[in-house]
Amino acid sequence: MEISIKGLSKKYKGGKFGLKNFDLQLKNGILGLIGPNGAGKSTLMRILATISSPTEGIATLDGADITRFPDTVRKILGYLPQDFGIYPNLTAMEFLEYIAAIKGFTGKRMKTRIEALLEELNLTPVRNRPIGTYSGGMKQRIGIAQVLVGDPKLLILDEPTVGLDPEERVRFRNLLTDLSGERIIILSSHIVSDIETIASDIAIIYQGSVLKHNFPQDILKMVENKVFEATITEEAYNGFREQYLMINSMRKNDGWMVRFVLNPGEKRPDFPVLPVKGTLEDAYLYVIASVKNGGRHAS
Amino acid sequence: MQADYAIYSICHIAKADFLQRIRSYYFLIALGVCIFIIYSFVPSLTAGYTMVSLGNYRGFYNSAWIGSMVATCVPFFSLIGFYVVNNAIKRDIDTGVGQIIATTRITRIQYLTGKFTSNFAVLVLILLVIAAMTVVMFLIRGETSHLEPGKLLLPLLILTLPAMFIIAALALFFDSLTRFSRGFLNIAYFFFWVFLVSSSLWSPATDVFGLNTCILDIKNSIAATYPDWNGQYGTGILITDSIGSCKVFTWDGMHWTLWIFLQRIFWMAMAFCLILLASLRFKRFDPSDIKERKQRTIWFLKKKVACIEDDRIPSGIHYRDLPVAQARFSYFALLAAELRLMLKGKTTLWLILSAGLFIASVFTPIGFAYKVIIPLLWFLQVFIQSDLGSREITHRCNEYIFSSAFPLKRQLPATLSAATLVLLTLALPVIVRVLFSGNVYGVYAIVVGALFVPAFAIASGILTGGSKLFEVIFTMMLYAILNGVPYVDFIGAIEESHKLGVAHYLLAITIVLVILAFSGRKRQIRHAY
Repeated sequence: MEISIKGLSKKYKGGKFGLKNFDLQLKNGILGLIGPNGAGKSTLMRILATISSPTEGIATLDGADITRFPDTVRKILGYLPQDFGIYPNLTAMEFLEYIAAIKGFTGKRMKTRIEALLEELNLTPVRNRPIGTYSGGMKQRIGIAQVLVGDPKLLILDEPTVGLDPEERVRFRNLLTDLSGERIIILSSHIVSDIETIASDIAIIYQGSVLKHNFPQDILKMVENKVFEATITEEAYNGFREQYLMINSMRKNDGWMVRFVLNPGEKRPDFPVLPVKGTLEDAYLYVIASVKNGGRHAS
Repeated sequence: MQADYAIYSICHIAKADFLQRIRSYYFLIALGVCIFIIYSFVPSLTAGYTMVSLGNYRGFYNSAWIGSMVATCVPFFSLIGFYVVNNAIKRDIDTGVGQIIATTRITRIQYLTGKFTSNFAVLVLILLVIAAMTVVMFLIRGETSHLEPGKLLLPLLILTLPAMFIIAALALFFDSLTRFSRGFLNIAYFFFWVFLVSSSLWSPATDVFGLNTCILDIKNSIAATYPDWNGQYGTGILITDSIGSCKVFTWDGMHWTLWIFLQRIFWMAMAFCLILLASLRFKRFDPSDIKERKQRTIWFLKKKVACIEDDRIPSGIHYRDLPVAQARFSYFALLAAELRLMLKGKTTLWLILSAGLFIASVFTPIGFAYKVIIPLLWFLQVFIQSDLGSREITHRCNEYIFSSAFPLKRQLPATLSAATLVLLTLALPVIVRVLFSGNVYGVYAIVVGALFVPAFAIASGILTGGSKLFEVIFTMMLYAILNGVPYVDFIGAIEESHKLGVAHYLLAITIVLVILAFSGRKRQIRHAY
């Protein structure tokens, strides 16, 4: 299965672009989309989920234009929007049966599948209670369950880990790993570590365009030998923030423990620093900062 | 300093609320309906109907007469105006802004004054459009070119403006009753409005809308000037083909007395009392004082719905172990799921009343069952029907439901069929009895009605994004049927509607509504974002 996106643009009323001349090629695997708020992640996902139309460009699924033939996507789609609701009076079973009926899946086998799905998502004990009484995390899991009801071949998950506690997030990541194979999974999240551990490739999006689309290890290479930790004094802290791309900091007895990325071409500082392994979050912040600073940090 | 803060916060609450409303779709609809009302209520002399009948006389279309005719439309403006502005507090609940406001220094009365100011400003804006339209109507229908702005517009200023003031306060009061369901309040206001209109016509002492004041002035004037006036007077849509042959009564306009001004001031003071009452009722968005939308359940379906503890039992199941999903679309399965979605979560009282009326429709005389029980039984379904077109968006399920396969071919027809099925099932005893009585038209009319109601609900829900329009118009139509008005008789219970062939027109309207629903949904699916 292959998704091809060529020159895709979405212009909203008022002239603002959600996507601008967006290109991307996707094959089976998990694509992690990361980018700041308003970068165009949700716009892209909505277009691919066929509930929004591009103003320019084309997106195809195995050669079929998804704007002209949306049902080619819909038949194999499992979509979890960023901000979704549920029918509060229905129980988990009833809600998932409703979604299954809409998607065109019925019968005893489907009922068994829904029961197993609820078990997988640890919702069995509450499956006969109205969803309106569920906690935020449980509703999120119902959202995930409705995605999986029809065994979709294309999964579009917009911020799926919002509201999940750390333990649930680990379980969700395992579930996605379980799912990957003959499927395309497109996943967006602000929690970069969620994507880092499971994505087969990663796209960094900014202002409606792709900045980087690569394998995780290739993206990590961008910050190879550039990430350091150091302890600095209270007085030096503000100046340090001005000079380096600081990833995070922690107050200590003798000053500040900082983690930072070197600017391109910049030499290692003359104060004591400890080289550390860069993470996807380091690379992401590095790429975004390089664009914001007009390429000052660009590699 | 405190006063500055109060004024500042009231102004900003009013401004934000005002801007939010006038940018809404409802506001445009309201303006359109008001313009249509004025256009219809000042009919041409050859229109075949009149809104104010004076027996053997008719009013000469001068500034005073046209101005007063528009002013007598105030009950309609007040009905529309109320439904435009009655969600100021509810919107703050829905958006969560209320929770933020509740934690600020603003007092209840300041908050409510801001909302009232916004309500009134919106209604004044509608009134300004009405005033402009009144001038237009004078230019279109006037029998004289002599425009007297005072006589044309003073009735709007002195009678209608204070009425709008009261409606702004009433809307706020109803809005503050957060413990009640919104649908219930929408319908309760309709009946309260009927009471207000009746009392306004009944006596000057209870003349909230200034109707009695205006009518009395016209009657006194014609009686004093034209001794041969036969004393007949009527308001409403009065069918007549003899307007042209009536003698002409030239009215010089209202005689504005101190008593009229005092009366209007009194009702405005009552409006202030309503705001104070609302401030006593209003609990600053305390969640325990807010009725959650459709959370109550029939008692025997109610299980443990209190706070559910998160379960932590680790599951040994993996996705790859799940039974394989095989696509096999079943329309009946979807229909059953739609019926479940529609009927789930209704109150025990609703169930008892529906069952009681259903049983009564079997045993009561056929005429009563047809003319009274079916309208009441269908009226009880108003909340089942009213959110059919908007529930996906209201509950924020639209993104994943609209991205399912064939949403136009599958889900929307199933919703329409399920809702029709509910109405037909409820009417089944009457359908059988009407059929056996040989009234084939009656059966046809009921079936058309059972198609029309959900089609109207779905189309209005899709086009307006809410359930209010349907709730209000459906209630008005049922009220009209119970009062023997044949033109809106969508069940064919009134004999005159049979003669008029109302069911045929409704079938055509139903087809148009279905087309509107499908095209609106198609647009929702592809262009919502």
